[in-house]
Amino acid sequence: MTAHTATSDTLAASNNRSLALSIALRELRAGAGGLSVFVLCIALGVAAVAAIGSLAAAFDKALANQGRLLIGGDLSFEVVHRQATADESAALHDLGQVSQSASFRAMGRGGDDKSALIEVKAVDDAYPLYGAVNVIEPEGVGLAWQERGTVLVQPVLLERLGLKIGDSLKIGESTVKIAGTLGQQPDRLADRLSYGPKVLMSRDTLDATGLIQPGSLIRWTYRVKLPNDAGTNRATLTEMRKAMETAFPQSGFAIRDWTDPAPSLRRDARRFTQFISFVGLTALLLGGIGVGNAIQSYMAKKRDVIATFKCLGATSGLVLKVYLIQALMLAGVGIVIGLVLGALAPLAIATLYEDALPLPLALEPHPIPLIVAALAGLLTMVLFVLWPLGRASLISPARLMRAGLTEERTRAATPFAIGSAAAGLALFVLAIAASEERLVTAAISLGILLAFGLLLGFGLLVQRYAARHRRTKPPAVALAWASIGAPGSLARAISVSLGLGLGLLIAVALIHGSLLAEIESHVEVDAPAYYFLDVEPDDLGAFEKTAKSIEAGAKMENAPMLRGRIVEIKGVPVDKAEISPDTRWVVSGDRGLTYTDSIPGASEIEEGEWWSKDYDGPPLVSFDGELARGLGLKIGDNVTVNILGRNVEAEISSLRKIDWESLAINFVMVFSPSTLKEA
Amino acid sequence: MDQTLRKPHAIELQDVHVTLPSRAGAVAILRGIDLDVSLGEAVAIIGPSGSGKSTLLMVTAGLERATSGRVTVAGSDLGALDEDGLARLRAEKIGIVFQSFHLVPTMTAIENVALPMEFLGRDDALDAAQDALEEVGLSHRTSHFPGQLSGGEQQRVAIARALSTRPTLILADEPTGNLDQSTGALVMDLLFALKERTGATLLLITHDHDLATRCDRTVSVADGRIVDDGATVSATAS
Repeated sequence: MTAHTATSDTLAASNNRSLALSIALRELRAGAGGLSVFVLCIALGVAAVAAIGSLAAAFDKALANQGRLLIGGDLSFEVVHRQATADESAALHDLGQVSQSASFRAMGRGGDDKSALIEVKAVDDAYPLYGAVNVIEPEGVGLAWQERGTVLVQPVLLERLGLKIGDSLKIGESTVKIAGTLGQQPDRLADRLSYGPKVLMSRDTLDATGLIQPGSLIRWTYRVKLPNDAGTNRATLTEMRKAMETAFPQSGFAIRDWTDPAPSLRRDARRFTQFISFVGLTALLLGGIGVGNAIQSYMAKKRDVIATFKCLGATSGLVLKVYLIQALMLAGVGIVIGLVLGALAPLAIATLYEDALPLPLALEPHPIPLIVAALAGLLTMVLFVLWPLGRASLISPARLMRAGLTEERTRAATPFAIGSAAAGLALFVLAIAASEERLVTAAISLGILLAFGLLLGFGLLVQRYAARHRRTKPPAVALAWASIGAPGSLARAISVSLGLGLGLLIAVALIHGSLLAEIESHVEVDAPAYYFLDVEPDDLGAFEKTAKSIEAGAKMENAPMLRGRIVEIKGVPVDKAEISPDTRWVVSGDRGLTYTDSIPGASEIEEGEWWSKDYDGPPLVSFDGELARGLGLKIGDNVTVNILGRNVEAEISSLRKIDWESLAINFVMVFSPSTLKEA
Repeated sequence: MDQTLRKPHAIELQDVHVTLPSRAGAVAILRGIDLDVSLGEAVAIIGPSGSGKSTLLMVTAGLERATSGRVTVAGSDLGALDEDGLARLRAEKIGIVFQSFHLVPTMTAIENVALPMEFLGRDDALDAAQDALEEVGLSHRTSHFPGQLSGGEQQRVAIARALSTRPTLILADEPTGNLDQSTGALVMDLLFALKERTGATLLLITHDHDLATRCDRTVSVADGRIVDDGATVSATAS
């Protein structure tokens, strides 16, 4: 080996990682001076992303874990207005053990004529197929709801009506005894949004109330427990769903299985997560700017040390390694703190808001969101740290003897700028990959990038303007301009961080204000004070008379309402039809619908013609124009709706523009009177 | 010229020019410097402020690139080396003593002294640093940070650091500039003693004519040029 080679080897060894690590640790030993901001910014950003991701995962996992309890069976078949036919019932019993329940809203009256809206749930003896009904008090009351004339009620109803356990409650034509207070039930999530306290009773008790009338707005649910754990096989579940759909195409059943017990809730949760994730990502980027500022300030103090290292023989590569290791160590501390906080978020939310949550969250650690948050934190660190570190590593050692001139002679740091940009790109790719709505995520990412560029450009303009106008009066202003316009001024960093921070706050405030303004502007003028549902046509006259006796000037509107489910679009079953994602909700469940001979208020015809008052031909329907476009429907197309167990095929004769914000009574579908009047 | 009769040079500067850019236009700092310094020789560079003394030292240390001309140090043409090559050359061959000491404030005295040896990959860096501190009389201050040392002690640590790798060339930029007279004298005694012991070449920048006379030769610089290469002084001294 030649002397030269030996020297090279030795010098190469000098640049190894252990030396860089050793020097980095010595540097940090004296304290990270000012870099606590660095750690804090990373920790907060990572905590925000990890917390949001963990909460979403905890909710998803909870849905998956508790699927059977949430729908109360392996499969659930739901239909409004009618009970299953004998054939349908037989087919359901062929699948496995069946439990039937009826859910509807009614008025409950106490002893001194106090009344309250209640959610009645009447169940058979097979209920519940999974889990157990929790009776809060009294203890040992057993299956009290199964006894005829006996009910369990949620405690809040007792408070509202001033009742206690053992008192009587009038529901419909029947007076029942309150046997105890109702706690959690296994299938509560499947019972939709509650408008009042729940009352659990048997089918016999329900029959005695006389509230089951043809066309009553009652949701009949048939839950099925498959034998021999057959329900654990997802393929079996799908097969059974399809078999029932094929056997009873006109049933109008909304079928769910335990693997996706609450699709709408899951969708809403994901949309909320999508929005809140971007608040988290923006928080992380704002934290990143703080990180960038902290590291720049730290490196400014280290310039002489770096120059000293180089005078003593350190290469730029070694210097970069020393400070990159420091940044990684500090980022590591910040990321760990952030991950711990984020991982604890579901526990904190579950503890603080236990009563408000629709289901208990799955509290175990969720690795995927934590990994995503850690990666996002790391990439943010690299995005904002690599370039200033790279520039610092290229500081000329000559600054020790001539600091004033070396500032201008720092070598180009283009590779580091490219590295930072690559980290930024990777961060956005990660955000998009981890998102459900990738197009929206990409658009928001692009928006953030544009805002970033605009604010950076604005900062640069301010800096240049200040530099050009530094010679001014009074001296205080001149000093301020000189400081803003000087090389290395914080004008650009402050412009970006303040701009993005304020932008985020303003965006949230604007969304909030816009929603409030939208609601308030309509509520003042048009919004009804009360809505009454399920008033029988025969009782309408008496109802109006009673209302006028209470408020003589009351303005009342009414419309017949049925519930129906779109089953076919232009002859194609909805599960095979091409439907835009924004419109899918229209076919995901049953919708309210009506019939009338005149154009409903708060809507106008945008295409087609309204039927004549005496029209008596084939069924016609008027559709919401925007939703029709989402469903791929136009004038003359046919849509099939299952109403009360029979399929009604109607031709679209007009499209309406509906002002939903008016809160007036309106419907996506309005049928010609002859179609539904007899229903 | 007969090369075999000539003493080998530690430093050879041939028609070196340094021009730096500035907002007011290019500034010529060195305007054709020719200087040879033999191995083991001690040369003082004197001249008024702004005459180019520090730039001359920086060019010699590879801290500043010559705009034109040739700079050879310890047999290496600095113009042919990249930044990392220059750093390696400094680690191996050059020890620098600054007026402001430039110790790393977050490291102890022994760690500061060990630093250039660690850059060379020496496993015994800390042991050798301990020996170097003993040589400058600071074996009892090894674990002290620079902020806990007096100015004189800091400069002695800096000297120990500069000489710890047994460099061919010691560059000293007004090493007593930040010290009182008596401390400065003690430090210079130490520097000259160590220079003699190691046989290193010394290039000393100073305003102090008395200090300059302790060197083998004094080179006067004015307005970026050598106005007296010290041959006469050297002859008188010898």
